[in-house]
Amino acid sequence: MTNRGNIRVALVGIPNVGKSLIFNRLTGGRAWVGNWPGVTVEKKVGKLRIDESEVEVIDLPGIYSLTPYSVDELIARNFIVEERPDVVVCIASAVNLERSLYLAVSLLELGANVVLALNMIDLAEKEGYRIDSKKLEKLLGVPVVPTIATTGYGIDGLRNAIKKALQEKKEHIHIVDYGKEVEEAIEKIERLIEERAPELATKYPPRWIAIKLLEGDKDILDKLAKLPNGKDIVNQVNSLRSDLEKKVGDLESHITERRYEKALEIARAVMKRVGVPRISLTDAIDSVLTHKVLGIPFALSIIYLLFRFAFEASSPFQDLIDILINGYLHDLVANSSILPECLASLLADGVIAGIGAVLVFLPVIAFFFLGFAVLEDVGYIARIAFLVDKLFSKFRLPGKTIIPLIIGFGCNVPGVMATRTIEDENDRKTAALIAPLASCNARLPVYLVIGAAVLGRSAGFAVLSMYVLGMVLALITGFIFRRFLFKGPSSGFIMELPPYMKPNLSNIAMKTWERTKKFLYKAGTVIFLGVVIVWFLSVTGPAGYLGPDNIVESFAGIIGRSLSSTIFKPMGWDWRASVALLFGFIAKEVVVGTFGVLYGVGEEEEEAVAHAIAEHHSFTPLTGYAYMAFVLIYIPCVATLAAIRGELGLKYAILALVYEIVLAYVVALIIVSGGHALGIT
Amino acid sequence: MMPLAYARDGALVRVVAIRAGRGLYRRLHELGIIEGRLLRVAKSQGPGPVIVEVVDNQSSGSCRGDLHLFNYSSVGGRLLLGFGVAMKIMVEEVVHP
Repeated sequence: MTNRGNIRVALVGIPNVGKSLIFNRLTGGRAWVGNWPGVTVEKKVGKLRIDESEVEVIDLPGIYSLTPYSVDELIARNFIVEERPDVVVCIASAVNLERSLYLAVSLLELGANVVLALNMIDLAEKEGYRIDSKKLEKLLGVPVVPTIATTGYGIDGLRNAIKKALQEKKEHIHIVDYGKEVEEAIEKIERLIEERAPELATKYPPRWIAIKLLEGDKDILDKLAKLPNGKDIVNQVNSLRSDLEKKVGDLESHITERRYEKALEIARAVMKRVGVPRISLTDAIDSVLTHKVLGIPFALSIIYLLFRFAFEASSPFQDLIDILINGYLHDLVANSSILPECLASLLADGVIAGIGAVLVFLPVIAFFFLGFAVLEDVGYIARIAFLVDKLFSKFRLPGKTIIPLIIGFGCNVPGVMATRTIEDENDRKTAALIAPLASCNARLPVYLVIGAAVLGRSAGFAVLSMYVLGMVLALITGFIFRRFLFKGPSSGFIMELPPYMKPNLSNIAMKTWERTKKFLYKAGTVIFLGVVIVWFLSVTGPAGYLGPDNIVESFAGIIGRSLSSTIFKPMGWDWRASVALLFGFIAKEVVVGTFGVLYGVGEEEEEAVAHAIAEHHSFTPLTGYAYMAFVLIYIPCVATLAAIRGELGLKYAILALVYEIVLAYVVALIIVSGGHALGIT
Repeated sequence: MMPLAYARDGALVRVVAIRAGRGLYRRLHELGIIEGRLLRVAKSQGPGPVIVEVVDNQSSGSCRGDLHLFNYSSVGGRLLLGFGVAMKIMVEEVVHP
């Protein structure tokens, strides 16, 4: 083994091979998460004990090849190519062998120290074939370990193979034969690199550089051009390329085709049919679930069930958190006699109330993501992308955009982050900007309170219409962004479609936790800061410190009054409603709490708040409905803004902020004036 | 010849041409969607997005017009191709559904 303490093993694989499960099995699930330099994509690192030494295990995003196509793939490639981990564990899917082998072959060409984990061999057997792993090992020239990540089968073997690979590196750079003419050119370039750019040749195998140059790999061309003799070599390579293209046609596709043929040839040689494939259950289920006409109603019912599940299952937990934090802890601190009044108020009404308001949503968000993870794990979510693709393509959006939007129903923060897997840059940016329009769980209490207060029997319908409105607006704004801001054709979307599978418990637990964690993390950092600012605005005024019960005179009250008498005048919202909007910036459910405080009925009882709103005649049904729409749209909460900033940069976070305020205002105005025009008051 | 987006459920088609930009063209090749290869259309919203399986050309020799496409062994998992992508892949029908 090389220098102690810094031995690194990278896990790579095509999407849906069970890579994360293998990561968990190898590391015991203990991982810390950081960010890759320069981008916000998560870097998951864990530890694996081999004898006395600790080995770092790095989980890379799913990739098909070493040619980057999405942000995720760029990261994975850079890590493997630049950081040169000591061992690369390539996780192959036994039910998707060719594509897995294509990646494995690409890794071998790079001279990586590869160990192949042949995962999902149980599924292959179910489909009626077996894979000869000994033969595969011989053909690839590197160790092959059959595994079943869901049961843990083969993990010990994999650990041993990693250990062995650390001691003795196996290479098979010359695995693909590209045909006589191309091979001759490769040899020429190899010699050229060895003689005139030895800096590059010490870092990468010369054969790999030669192949990449012939493929026209931009990154390697740039690297070469920077070297002293670089420009000259690039010119020579270019003339070789144009000579070759006359003989074999487009060189890049010639090379990928040859590589693919090799992967296919190996796959053919090692796959053995041992039985008749069962009549595919997946086909049978798909004939209903992805049906042209029935598919969409089914999807809507399933999403409805997802919501019901999240709300029903979480309500006892929600009550518990509410009692503990907003009740017990808040009162304890607020009435404490040791703290000075001002500090007690900051802690109780600012920090605890704010964090409490956000934490109350933890159970419903966690259960929502639990349900979502189940749907994802059985393979249904990918089908929804298929179902909506045709509709979405009318708005110039790929069907995949639906996934961040559905996750956004739970919480917009992981929704925004889920846009990472969208390959096309323009599509991805658009998706991240419209993701906050998915009506998240935090907005529901606002709808419920206002609905109960002023809309009476049509409240239920009004609430439902908010979800629809959010989706419609997402599509329309998506279209506008795609048409005017992020112009250019989409490179389209391609997704691996897994067969329907039994959900795996640890997989689901992992995914649920990862998404919920993002919500928690944001709640703990960004929201904390926002809460303190709002608290400050509500307890101080021109006269100085006012205490918690004097919002009317505070800065917040002043801002609220000036808002309601100016820009919100057409909507007819009073100053309390305006103040609530101001506070809702932190997290939208804070709107309800603010109403509670402003009416002096306390923050906890939603019914009491609704009652107070009705009694004060703060809203007419029409202005109330417009208010609901405004709350849906007007601003992504602080945490979501921070997520957009992380994904796209500050400029786009500001854009999201501005467009949502404008859009909310316009929609609310249309509702109110349209209503008046129709004679509704 | 027609775009893959127009193929019918259950059809077996041969890829004739791919009219895509460089990045997508390469990605399709890496996934096994290469000129001359066979695809089984598992699901189509014709015209619209499709779900396809890449089929091993060599396994199809014995099979003429066999509606149960079991003789064609699929290579690799199923792929969902969006409407836009499916319009860029030109195919010809080999076996009718």
